[in-house]
Amino acid sequence: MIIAIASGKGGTGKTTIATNLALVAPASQYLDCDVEEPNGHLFLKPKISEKRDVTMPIPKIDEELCTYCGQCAAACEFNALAVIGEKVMVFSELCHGCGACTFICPEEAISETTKSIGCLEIGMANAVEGAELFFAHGISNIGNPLSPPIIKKVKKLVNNDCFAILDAPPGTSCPMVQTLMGCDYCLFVTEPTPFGLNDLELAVGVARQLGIPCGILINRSDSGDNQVQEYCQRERIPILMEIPFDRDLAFAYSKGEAAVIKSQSLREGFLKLHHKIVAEVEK
Amino acid sequence: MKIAISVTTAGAGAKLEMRFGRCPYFAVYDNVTKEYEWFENSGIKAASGAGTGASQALLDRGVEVVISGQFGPKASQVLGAAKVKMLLGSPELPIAEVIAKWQADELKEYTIQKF
Repeated sequence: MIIAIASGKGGTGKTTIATNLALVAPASQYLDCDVEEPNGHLFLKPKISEKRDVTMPIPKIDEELCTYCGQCAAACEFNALAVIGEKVMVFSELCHGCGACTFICPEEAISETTKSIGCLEIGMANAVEGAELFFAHGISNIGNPLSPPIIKKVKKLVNNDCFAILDAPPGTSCPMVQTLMGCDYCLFVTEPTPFGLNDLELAVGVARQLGIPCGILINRSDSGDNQVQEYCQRERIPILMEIPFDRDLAFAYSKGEAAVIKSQSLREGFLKLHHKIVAEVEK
Repeated sequence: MKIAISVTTAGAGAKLEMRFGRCPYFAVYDNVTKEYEWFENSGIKAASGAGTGASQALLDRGVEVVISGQFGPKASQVLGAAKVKMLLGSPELPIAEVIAKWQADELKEYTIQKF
């Protein structure tokens, strides 16, 4: 079972929810897909046992064979190639690795080489009551504009027999879509404010387009207004949990501690959330 | 010689457009025939690489001088490699005045910046 924890708006508490849920849910995996700024490790403190480089293909021009016909540059959807007289310029930071140039070259002068765009770190973390938790995250290289290929690699580590939790990047663009694709369920973490609602509606639109059932968790539920509740009622989206503002929770967060470690009531709350998600998926 | 100018619109009312890669149109002026060719910049819709795409389109038309308000890092690399002269004009200047300034040699040359 694969669950994405997403939000639309940033800073609503995705990682707080994802890490605490991962710690209490039985047989769970935690996979941080927010590869531009992964931070789940700060709370789970995993022992990393393996590091893998993530690469993508980029074109390499054999100037001996090239006739400078310009078909590669014309075929490139991303303008990553320019043919100037007897010179081919490759802008690897614009390349999406689609391979169109290699395919179209009539002289077979283009081969593919690889470029490092980030890495994966894999390990185990301690969960509650002596259990262990599979941990993985992707890290995009600074300046790398393409995170979806790294997210794809993180998702390859999903074990379908586990309760796999994907900590999604904020927003509704390609990295978020890449994370949600193929999930059994999406839990949206939102805050009950006009900003939270605006971005939630956009995110729910993405989940619906992808055909992924979703539920809502309202964080800091005693702030803001009732618009999120009204929206959920109108759109028939279940609210699976509400967490009021809690100073102890905020304090634990500031220390890089998962709140469920110390709080019995939160542990029970997150266990209940786990049961509700499973019930929703099996519905 | 062909001179390309990034412009706001096609035709008589055209003014110099500040952006090179994402300008709506290019005017290509031929100083021998004294005629203009206008074409839409496909770069305005490009998700990425607008500057490289626009540069390639101008090179394919045999342009030797480009006048714009500003050049991006990738566009200036491509144009620089092709030895195309990059000149800076004031945004919103009517195209006839841009050409007059070019003829009078009053336009500043763009120097490639290191990023």
